[in-house]
Amino acid sequence: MTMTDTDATTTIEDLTDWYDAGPADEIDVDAAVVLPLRPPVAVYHLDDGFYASDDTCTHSEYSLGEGWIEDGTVECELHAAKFDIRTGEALTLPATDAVVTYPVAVVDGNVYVDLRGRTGCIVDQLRG
Amino acid sequence: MSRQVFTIVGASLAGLRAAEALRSRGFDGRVVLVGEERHAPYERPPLSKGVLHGTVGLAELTLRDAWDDVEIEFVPGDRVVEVVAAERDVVLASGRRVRSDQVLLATGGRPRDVDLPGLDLPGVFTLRDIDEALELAPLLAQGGRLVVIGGGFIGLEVAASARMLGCEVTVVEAATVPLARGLGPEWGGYVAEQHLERGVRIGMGVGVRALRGSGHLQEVELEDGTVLQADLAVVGVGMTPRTELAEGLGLRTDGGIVVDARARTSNSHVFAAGDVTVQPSWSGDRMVRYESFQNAQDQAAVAAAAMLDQEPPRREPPWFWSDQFDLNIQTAGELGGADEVIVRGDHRAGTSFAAFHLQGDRVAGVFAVNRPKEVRAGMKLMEVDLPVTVDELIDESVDLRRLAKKVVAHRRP
Repeated sequence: MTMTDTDATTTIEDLTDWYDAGPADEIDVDAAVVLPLRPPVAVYHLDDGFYASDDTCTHSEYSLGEGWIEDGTVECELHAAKFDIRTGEALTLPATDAVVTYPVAVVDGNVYVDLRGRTGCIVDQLRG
Repeated sequence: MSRQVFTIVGASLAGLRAAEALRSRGFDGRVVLVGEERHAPYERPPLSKGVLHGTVGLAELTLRDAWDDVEIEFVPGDRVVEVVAAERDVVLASGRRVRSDQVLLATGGRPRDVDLPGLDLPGVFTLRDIDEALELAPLLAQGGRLVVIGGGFIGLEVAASARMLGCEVTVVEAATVPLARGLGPEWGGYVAEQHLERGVRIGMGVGVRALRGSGHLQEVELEDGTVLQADLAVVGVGMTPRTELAEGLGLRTDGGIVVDARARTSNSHVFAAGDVTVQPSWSGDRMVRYESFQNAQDQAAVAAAAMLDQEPPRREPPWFWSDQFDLNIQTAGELGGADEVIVRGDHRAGTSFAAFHLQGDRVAGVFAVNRPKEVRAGMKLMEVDLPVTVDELIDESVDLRRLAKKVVAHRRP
């Protein structure tokens, strides 16, 4: 869940097509919010910044944003599949597929997600 | 010096996970993974659920089918018939022999034998591997009469799946409450009640005398003389650990291969992981056999570390889940021996609650229905071993996850 460094040159104009995920200070560290998209996207706050991934676990229908976040990983609470939040990699079975990740930027205290920047795409057509 | 050879016997979850962990931990010798089934390692929990519903098959359940990138020598469809102690020669049914520096036994279990007339009739099933599940699924889809013998987790999951497919389902359980061994009488009774409400019939406290039929199963006779008409029966009365190789090696066994907390057996070159082991319990006061997905996966990683003489990964409290009907049932820690049980939510009128089993002011175990968050928080509270109050546990406005994490953050240097 790649993080775009927010440098001084990034302006709000550069992010016109990015999705507004709301104020950064409304997401606690080691917590996440779920964006009501189809399919939904989870935005995580780790100690080194913000990351985003598809919200639905690649193993079974359940929200990763509702999962247990610790040490840069998120664990689905239905069957305990664990993912690396920064890369999307599946770390434990029963998940075998990585979860799709998105670039994230923070500008003026607000979090933006680049929905076109999905990596590891498997369900692209769903969001036409 | 020639490359070291580590051989893993059993290619289900524990065996596969150990092989992968050996590689991720930097082992550069050969890893040989021998599996009796002809399939690549696959996920077993859906055998009693998604596979019976016809929504997933082998392709979706396969855990790994590419071996070159991890350099694991996967040998499917062959069976280890002996491990010769002196040379640690692993002898396969095909005649192949693999001389091994270390051996990991991840042989799992087989359905426990029962001595009943008529077990070999067509229409009578056990459920441990995918071939059995794939054979059973289309038969259940026809919606006939199913008798499930044994009210354990697999039996009740099959019952729930079959009921959802429109079958007429009767569960016969010799004990007075199903799942009592794992969950205790109260929660076992709760699950039974949920089945009854969803149209499953349950005969408790009664054994089976015989399965009968001419050419195919037709009826199941109970010990009290009751005769149940049946098109299909599934026998799910527990599993027997496959300890034969361990016994041949002279390893200590006692209801499973006896291992220590690092998955070491009584032979310093032989390790064991998964359903086949008995190991020190989470609380450390007894030896237990954890027959769970979590244990297979985690103990395999512990075994890989021990085989490489590395530090084991951190141990988590034991955790188990079962999906039945619309119920995600989870249990963690130890439910027995509680001083007090505190329920968050309402277990008398609904299917969403978490019951915290307290020992003193510590959470020792959690049983929950459709409350996975509370279970995960409870596990963290067990891990950090700090006191909680009854008010915090009961009050739905207290975020237990946050509470548990604050505790963790507080304790970090």
